[in-house]
Amino acid sequence: MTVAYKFLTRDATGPFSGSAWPLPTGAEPGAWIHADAGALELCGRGAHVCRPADLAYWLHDDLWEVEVDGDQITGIDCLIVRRARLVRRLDGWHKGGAAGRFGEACVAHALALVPAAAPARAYLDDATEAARYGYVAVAAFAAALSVAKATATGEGEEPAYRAERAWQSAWIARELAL
Amino acid sequence: MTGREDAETVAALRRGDEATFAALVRRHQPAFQRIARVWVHDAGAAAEVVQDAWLAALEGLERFEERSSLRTWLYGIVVNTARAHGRAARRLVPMSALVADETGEAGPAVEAERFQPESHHWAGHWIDMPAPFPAPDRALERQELRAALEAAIAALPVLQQQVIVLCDVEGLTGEEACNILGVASTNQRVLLHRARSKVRAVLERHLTEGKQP
Amino acid sequence: MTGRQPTPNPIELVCQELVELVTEYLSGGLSPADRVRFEKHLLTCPPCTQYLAQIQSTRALAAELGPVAPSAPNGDDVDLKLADLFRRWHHKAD
Repeated sequence: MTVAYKFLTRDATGPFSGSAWPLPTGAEPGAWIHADAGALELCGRGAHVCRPADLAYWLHDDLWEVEVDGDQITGIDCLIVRRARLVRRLDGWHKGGAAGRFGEACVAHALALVPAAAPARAYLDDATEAARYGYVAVAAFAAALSVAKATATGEGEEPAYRAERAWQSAWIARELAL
Repeated sequence: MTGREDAETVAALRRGDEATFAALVRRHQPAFQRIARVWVHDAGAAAEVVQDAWLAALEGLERFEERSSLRTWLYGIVVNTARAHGRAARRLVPMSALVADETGEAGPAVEAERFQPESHHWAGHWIDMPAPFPAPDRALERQELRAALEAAIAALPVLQQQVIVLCDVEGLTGEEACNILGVASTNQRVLLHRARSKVRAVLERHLTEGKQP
Repeated sequence: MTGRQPTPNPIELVCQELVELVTEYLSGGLSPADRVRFEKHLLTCPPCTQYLAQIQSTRALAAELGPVAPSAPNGDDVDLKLADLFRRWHHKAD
């Protein structure tokens, strides 16, 4: 796999690491960031990036296309890679308004799945309000929680929650033609 | 300071190099005073502790084995000297009792009332948004904030106070704090957690009181 | 850590749990799985994000106290006394 994705803050820093990713200049990708020698580790050594299916869990200000290289391991809803560099910002997400539409889409999708009388509807009401005020990550989370609680089977809520999150990630991938 | 720099410092002290000692004092005196004050609240007694600690460090120089850094070794001496002072005044509680009491304190990091109750669909979530800590604009506000912080730290039970002084004020690692105090890592983390949670709460009250809409 | 002991929820960390885990998180002591749960929660929870910022401000403010000596007896006196102490120690040791 050579293409991956990364949500960063508006200043192109990692939301948790706080470290700045080197920016592309003109048509040239940004400089490589690379992990030093040693085993790649979840939450440790290596650049953490998203596959399309992971996107819904990691929402933030800007979405970037990333080129990756070298060895890689699978993390929890992420990929950990030896080397990565920013290729281009996917302006459809923020400037193009996909983020806002995403929040609304999560709510709309959940409305079709959560009966009006269900107790889980309370989460969906909160999701609707969050989407209205631009809290996209909150809206998506609350919508997924609502679906999970309304549609959970004997296997518990987690599979239903993850299925809804998968739908959400797929929406982003489709909307931005990833 | 690296191991080599520590070794050079120790060698210079042994040679009687006054400039090296003066530099060492300048560098560590604030921390010595701060550590002494955790255990001994009277400023005069704290000054005695600091004096005794420097003497103990010089007399113990032969025994500095470079297994730890010079700094953690020195701070360990201050703690022990301060505690010995308390022993002399018959106020000393054994370390094990302090650890048990202070790690075993009941009480959450944040009062339960700040979170939605069990009956709510968002049980366990914040009811209201915690306020950001505003950066004080004016010198007077900065001074008041510093005073509030000093007071919050001074009000902590002794080990929690010592751990937050070592880790957050003096910037030592958890491991260094463990070595200085002779406490286990798990206990050090619990002590730091309790200390920080309480200090945060005091600062929050100080910074947001009277500013609610 | 103490505090509410909620039934572990596989979907999400709850705020009341998070505030008990902050110290471990900042010291890198959480397991990778717990750290992922912690960070995923922050992304969907502005109040917890604010709480973490408060804790980090608390640490930063405490660090600013470091270089400032607490009010102490006259500085010069102390320096002279210690210089004297050092000389006496060194002569004894010779």
